[in-house]
Amino acid sequence: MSILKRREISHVIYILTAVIILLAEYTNLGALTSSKLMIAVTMIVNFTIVLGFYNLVYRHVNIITRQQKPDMYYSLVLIITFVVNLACMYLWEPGFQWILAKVFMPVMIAITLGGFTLITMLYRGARVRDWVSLVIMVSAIIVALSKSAIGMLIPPLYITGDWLLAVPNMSARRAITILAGLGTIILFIRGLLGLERSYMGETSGA
Amino acid sequence: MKSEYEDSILYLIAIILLALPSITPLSVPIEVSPETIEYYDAIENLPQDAVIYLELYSGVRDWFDTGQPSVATVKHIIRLVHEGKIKGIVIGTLGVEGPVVLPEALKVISESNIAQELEYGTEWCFIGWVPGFEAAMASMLEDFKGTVVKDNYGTSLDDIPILDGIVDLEDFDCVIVTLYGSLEIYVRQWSGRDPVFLLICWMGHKTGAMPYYKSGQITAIMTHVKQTAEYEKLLGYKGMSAALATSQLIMQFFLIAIIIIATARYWIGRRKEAE
Repeated sequence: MSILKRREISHVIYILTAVIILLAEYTNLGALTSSKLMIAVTMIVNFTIVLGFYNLVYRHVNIITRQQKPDMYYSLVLIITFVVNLACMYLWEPGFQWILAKVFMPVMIAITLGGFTLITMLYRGARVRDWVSLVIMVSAIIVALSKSAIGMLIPPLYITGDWLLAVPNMSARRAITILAGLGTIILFIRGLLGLERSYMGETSGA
Repeated sequence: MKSEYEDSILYLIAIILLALPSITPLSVPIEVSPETIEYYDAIENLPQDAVIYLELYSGVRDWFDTGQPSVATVKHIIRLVHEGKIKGIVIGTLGVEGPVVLPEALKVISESNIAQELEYGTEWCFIGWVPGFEAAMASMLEDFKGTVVKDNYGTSLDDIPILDGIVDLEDFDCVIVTLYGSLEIYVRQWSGRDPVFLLICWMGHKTGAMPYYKSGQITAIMTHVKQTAEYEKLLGYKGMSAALATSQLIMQFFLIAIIIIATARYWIGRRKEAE
């Protein structure tokens, strides 16, 4: 196996990077190196755009050349839209602005306001099967209506919605945030100990 | 009804219901809520000669969500500058979507008419898109002009009078963030510091922002549609949000009806199975 592919190399890079960034964060030692590392990460992330572009074109051109129906029609529309949008963005600014203002924004407004995904999700999955789901559904409806235009017109609705948002929702959010933070720390420690190897594309150890 | 047509029929009904307020005089009265007054007052009570930084982190797809409250906020700030209550506003965007985010910022600028209402350089300035996202955020806290060297039009920030005396982000009196993506990054970097921290977001983000709001890290929150319609009412103009508030309410009733229908279908099916 090539020495560059050895797990230990990746592991050492992981630990070194983590130590440099942590040291800079808490003691300001090696702040410049840490800053340069951050910039390097930002630059590397930009390369994912190239990878994404390649994957997108490769997959959809494949579908078109294999003439898979009806997917090939959607892929064709996607490729044409992508090329036109990209060309306008770099070669014809007014055209790009027109696409954004007259196509993209109205479509996005319709999708966001229409909540089409939500409609399907509610129709297929929002079934009140027991008292727990009843509580969740009723809470969701109260919060939604209390924050709608009629919320202020019905004071008990507004007060209940506000309470649901400020008390049960907030405590649940705090718990999620704290647990997510703890989870991140545990993941980091596992990485340092060599137990977490998913970032190298491997299945984690014990 | 065939199950494959069910979604399409529901979508069609939704589209018709959404269009109703646009084609009929249907509208709901807008009552101003305490949270809108809180947001309004937070801007209204800024000190004399205050300079505000407005971060427009929202893509074009987000025009409906955060575009409207952003325009209302800029209009509010324009009025305060005219009244001599504050010095002005600096607008920028750090959004990771980069050039795609910029048109949204430009649209907020054009819709609010700030270029015509205020004098560029002394009362407002647009620093454009700043690359680097969280790294840039952290850097702006330490050295604003070192992070953003020129404005969107290539002028050095040292030559822009509104930025005289601004060394780091904490020298601004108020930071307003319009949010599309991760709330935690902005809260982590910029909230809980000297400037008044205001958030413009959609309802989903508001539920996540509540712990930071209750702890005082976020001074006030402005959400889209209904709350923006209230804000527009306070500012004395009627924007798109008033019409959208009616559409939103109709959609909410429609979604409640869907939940009831879905539940009824489930229980009827279960009863039939039992029989």
